[in-house]
Amino acid sequence: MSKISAIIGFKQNKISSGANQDVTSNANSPYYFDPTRVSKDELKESKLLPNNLKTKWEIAKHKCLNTLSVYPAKGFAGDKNSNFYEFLTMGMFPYVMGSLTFMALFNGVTKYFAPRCADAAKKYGFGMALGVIFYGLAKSLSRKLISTPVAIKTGIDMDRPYRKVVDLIPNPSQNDSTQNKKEKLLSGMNKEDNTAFEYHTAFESVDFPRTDLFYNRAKGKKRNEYYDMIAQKNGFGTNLNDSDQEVKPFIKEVVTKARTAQNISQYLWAATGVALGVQEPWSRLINIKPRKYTGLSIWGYAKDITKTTGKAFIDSCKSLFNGGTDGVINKKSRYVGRTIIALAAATTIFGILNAIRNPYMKNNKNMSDSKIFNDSSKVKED
Amino acid sequence: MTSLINLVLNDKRTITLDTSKNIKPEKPKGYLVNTPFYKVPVEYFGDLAKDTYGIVKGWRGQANDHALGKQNDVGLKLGAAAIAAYLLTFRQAKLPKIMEIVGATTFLSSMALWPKLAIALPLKARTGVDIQQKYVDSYGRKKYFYMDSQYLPWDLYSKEQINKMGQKMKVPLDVPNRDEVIREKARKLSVQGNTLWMATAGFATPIMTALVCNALEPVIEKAKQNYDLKKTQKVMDSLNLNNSNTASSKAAKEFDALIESHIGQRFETNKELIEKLNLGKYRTALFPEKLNTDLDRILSNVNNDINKEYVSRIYDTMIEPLSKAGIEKKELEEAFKSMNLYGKQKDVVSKFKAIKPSSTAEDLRSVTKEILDKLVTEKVTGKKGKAIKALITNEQIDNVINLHNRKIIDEDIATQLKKVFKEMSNYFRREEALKNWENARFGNNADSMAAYSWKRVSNEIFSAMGINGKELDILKNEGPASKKLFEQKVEKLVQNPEKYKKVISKIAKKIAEFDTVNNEASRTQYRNYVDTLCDLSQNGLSKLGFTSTANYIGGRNKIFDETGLLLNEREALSGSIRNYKKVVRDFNVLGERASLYRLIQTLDLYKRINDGTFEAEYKEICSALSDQMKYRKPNYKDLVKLSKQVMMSAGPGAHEVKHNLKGRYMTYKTLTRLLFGAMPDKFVINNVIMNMTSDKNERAIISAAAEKSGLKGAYEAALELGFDKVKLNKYRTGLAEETLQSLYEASIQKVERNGKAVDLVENIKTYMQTFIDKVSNYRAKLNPRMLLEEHDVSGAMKGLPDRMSPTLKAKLVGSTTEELIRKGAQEAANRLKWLKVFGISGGVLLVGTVLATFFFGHLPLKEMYMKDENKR
Repeated sequence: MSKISAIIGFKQNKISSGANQDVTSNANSPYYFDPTRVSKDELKESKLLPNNLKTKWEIAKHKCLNTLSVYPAKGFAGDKNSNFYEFLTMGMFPYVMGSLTFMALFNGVTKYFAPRCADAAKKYGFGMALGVIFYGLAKSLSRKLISTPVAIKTGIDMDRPYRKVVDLIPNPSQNDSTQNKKEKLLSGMNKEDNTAFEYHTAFESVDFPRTDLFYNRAKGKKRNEYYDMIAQKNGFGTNLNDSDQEVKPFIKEVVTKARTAQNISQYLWAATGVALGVQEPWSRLINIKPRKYTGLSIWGYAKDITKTTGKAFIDSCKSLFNGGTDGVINKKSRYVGRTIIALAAATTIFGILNAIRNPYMKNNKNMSDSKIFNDSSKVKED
Repeated sequence: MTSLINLVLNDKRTITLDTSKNIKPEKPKGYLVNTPFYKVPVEYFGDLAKDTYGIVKGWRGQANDHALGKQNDVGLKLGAAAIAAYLLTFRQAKLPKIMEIVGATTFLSSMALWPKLAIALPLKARTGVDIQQKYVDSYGRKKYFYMDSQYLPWDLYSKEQINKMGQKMKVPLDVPNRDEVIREKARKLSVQGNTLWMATAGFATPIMTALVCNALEPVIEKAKQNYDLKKTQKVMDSLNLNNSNTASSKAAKEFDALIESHIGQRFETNKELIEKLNLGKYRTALFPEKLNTDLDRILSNVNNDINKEYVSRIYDTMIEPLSKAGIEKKELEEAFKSMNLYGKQKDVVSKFKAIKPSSTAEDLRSVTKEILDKLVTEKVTGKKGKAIKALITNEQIDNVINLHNRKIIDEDIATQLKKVFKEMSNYFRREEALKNWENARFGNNADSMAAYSWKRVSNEIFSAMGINGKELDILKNEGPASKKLFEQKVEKLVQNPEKYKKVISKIAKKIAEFDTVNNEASRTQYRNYVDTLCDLSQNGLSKLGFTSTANYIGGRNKIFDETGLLLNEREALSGSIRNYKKVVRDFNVLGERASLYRLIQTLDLYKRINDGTFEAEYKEICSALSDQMKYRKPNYKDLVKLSKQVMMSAGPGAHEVKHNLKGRYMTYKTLTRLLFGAMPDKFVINNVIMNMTSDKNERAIISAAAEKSGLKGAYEAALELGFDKVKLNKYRTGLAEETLQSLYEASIQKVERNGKAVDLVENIKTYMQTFIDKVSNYRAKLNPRMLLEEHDVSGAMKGLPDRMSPTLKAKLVGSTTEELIRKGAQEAANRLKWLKVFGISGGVLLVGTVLATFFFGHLPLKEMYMKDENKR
């Protein structure tokens, strides 16, 4: 157990303490993961995790804390084990900081302006700050707009997370005690095993999807349980001999199509978010009085604010759609605003339809191995 | 040896492979990308096209991980473009619109440039390792070489290249496995550099974007201004004003179709026609009105012939209100029939017969009324009858008559209307070009040259006066503190002649810049354009019978003669677009100049008070006062105080008040003469110019010239005699010598730069004279009802010297110095504050980042010499 992991509070302790306990049978199920009830051996190999809030919270915490501590420390030291995953995970930092800096650019100095300028600048800055927030919100939430229907229709959960156990490159100067200490500190979670955790999603790579994780390895269970489910859901039939082989190309295609739609639509939704943020009705929120001047109870005040915000949101949506409020209509804004919304909606809807379309079922209901063989041989690089 | 192998597949098929061709692994085709900077744009768009194709492949479900990753780049650009396009719609002026696009582009390039400039460049300079190096792999995918530190395709680097890096990184030559050490160092550098990139990009990208945009704005502004000036001139030159457009536009086709569809019918109202003729452009409210008058004339004829059609028209018009009032349609029809208007029934017919062809509309009205009355009284009685009677109003009857009078559109009218449309659309086309031409120069909008000079002038003044950020914070507010501070600053400034001249030059340069474009020549040019435009349309429309519209454009009773305009020009042109355009131009230019002139005069006043010339002038004026007035002369101290107050903060309203000086009275006129310099002409001739020489001959020449053409003559004669120009002008304008010198210098500099002479002294003198003639003329009365066009502001104030419109007065007085400074200070202070906070943080970030790179790539010697296999 490294010091860092203790500092950042990852529940390594729980995992270790649960090592001696009996492993229940459903811990082996790919749909069930409880970090407190797994054997130590399990920490040595990659493991599929359930896609629920708890896991998401754990992953987010792991990523955030590491981005702020272990990964940059390793990166600045030029560590051998500082890999592409860590680099990508650290990408979260400029994203958040960039958003905050943008807000500061528009709002940081307005208070020093002359009164009238300050008012105007505040209003503009507030709009831009909201725009930045809505950009982020719309961008991340809009991905769900595509992945959720795809998951419902095909059973393929594009965001299914798994925990990857990475074997670290051994340290050349392990005999050097100071160096060793430093290395231990920097190398991540479980130094004893010389491994580290990474959190990925099973289908994040379409070239090398982790389809292996979906096999049910427990004794007495159907090995292809997951693939049978996908095959049945998508009309490949039931009781197939090799359901995994049948549906794997299909999964790859669905994920590729859906991700393409996500990659484009998310930025259009983000633009819609910015457009929503700069609408006039939001400026009402600037003038909300502090509670002590209103004489309301905390509950009443919260209700009041919620009401004002809700009204501002509804009016802003209307304003975005109509190109203005209270008879002040900017036709160009209306046109451009509606175009952006329409594009975002179109890429989402057609993206979903495109992804859930099943080309394999069109001509050949009983696919043979040769079909799979031919298909996989077709996959070319770029 | 055979080179053929048979492969048996699962489904029992066999494939034969020729191993002689395929047995060897393919040679790697990857290479490092070293694009020269001039090819970067080509590469950029090439990559973008490739990435976009990745979307198509992804849509088909065929993309690989690399293509999916690259889709994000396209999406990001698409999103940025969408945001810029949306925010663009909120901007009115062109420059902010351009800046939205520049902003989006700068943001995207900042994202790419920051790691290159702040991290990769210093690292490369120091170590020879370019951590932003890209390569293309064997499958043609472009990637960053150092992106994944655990997978570095070192075989793309030649041994020499690696050696070169080693030399720069000072790796000892005797290190065992030296290449490995060099690669390890490079890897370490890249991991550290990439981490630094991630750590700093969040702060750097927005700040860099903002700072770059800030720096770019003035450059773009200047470029845009020049572009606009040239472009609009080009359009005006190419727009052959004499050649009319064939008007083959969509609007023309629509109009033609409208007319064609009405041949053989009537246009019941003019509304539709007016809308089409006016091209939906209600720029001036009077156009529809004038068009209506003309259309009425063209499309109506007095038709007092009462015939079958007329009666059926009465029926058509009245049937709706009457049936609403309760009479059934059938009943009404019968009533009309029973009246037998065309039959032998006597009463109505005899009435009709009494109407002669020359009868008036009044006769017609009375007959119509009679018909309707008769109808009601005969058929409907009681309450209903009364209600119906109330319906038959004069208005209703007029409607009937008007409709009856509308002409049926025949081929001739159709052709005429089509021609009118062409004429109107030509007018609007020419006007549009002219509008753009004037907007780029002096227009009352944020994109004009005047607006840009205005924006920059205050900043330059502050820097020249040495006003710092703290002082700007005070100046930006309203109130005595800011006023006091500015006064102090000015008083300090006038004590230093060099600094003072510098400030005046700055302002003068701005005026000169404005004047090189908006000078007398451009005024003449503009007036010519207006005349040509108006003449063409006026002539064209008059010929087509649209005289009201024609005269609205060109002026009433416009008669051209070779020697010029007729005497009643002012009256004739009053209310016409021709005159409006001319006057508005003059007023705009005047107003913009006046505010800057006023700033010069304010500074000049403090200068004159400081060096004592103001007091000397005061004494001279007092000594020249008549005996009657002498006892009324004001206290000097009070006068100074009042003068400062007037220059600093008197708006047009305050100038109306005749200032009273503590019991001692001095005419407002005298005060403004002191302030606005110009002394009475006679005074200047006798006491100034004559006093500059004691030579009798010279004095005689001057007085002769003065008698002939007043002060101007005397001045020119004195110049010819070799008198000092500055001194002469000092009395002509009343400005301090330093001020005059700076103005001359600014004029000369402009001449050198643009080859166009601008006489700032002459311009300011003309302005002052106008001010004295108008604003300080106690006989001049404000006449709010007076129209703009009743003034000619060309300098020579012809006619009506004792009256002026409030607009003229406001333009002459200009912005108060206080307001000008306050507004400038606000902008400058905001800008400074912003730059201070983000400029400093940007600078610190850049220096910190570059310095950090110096600590990268460190590998202990001990580790270098280790022979461990795991070293890598």
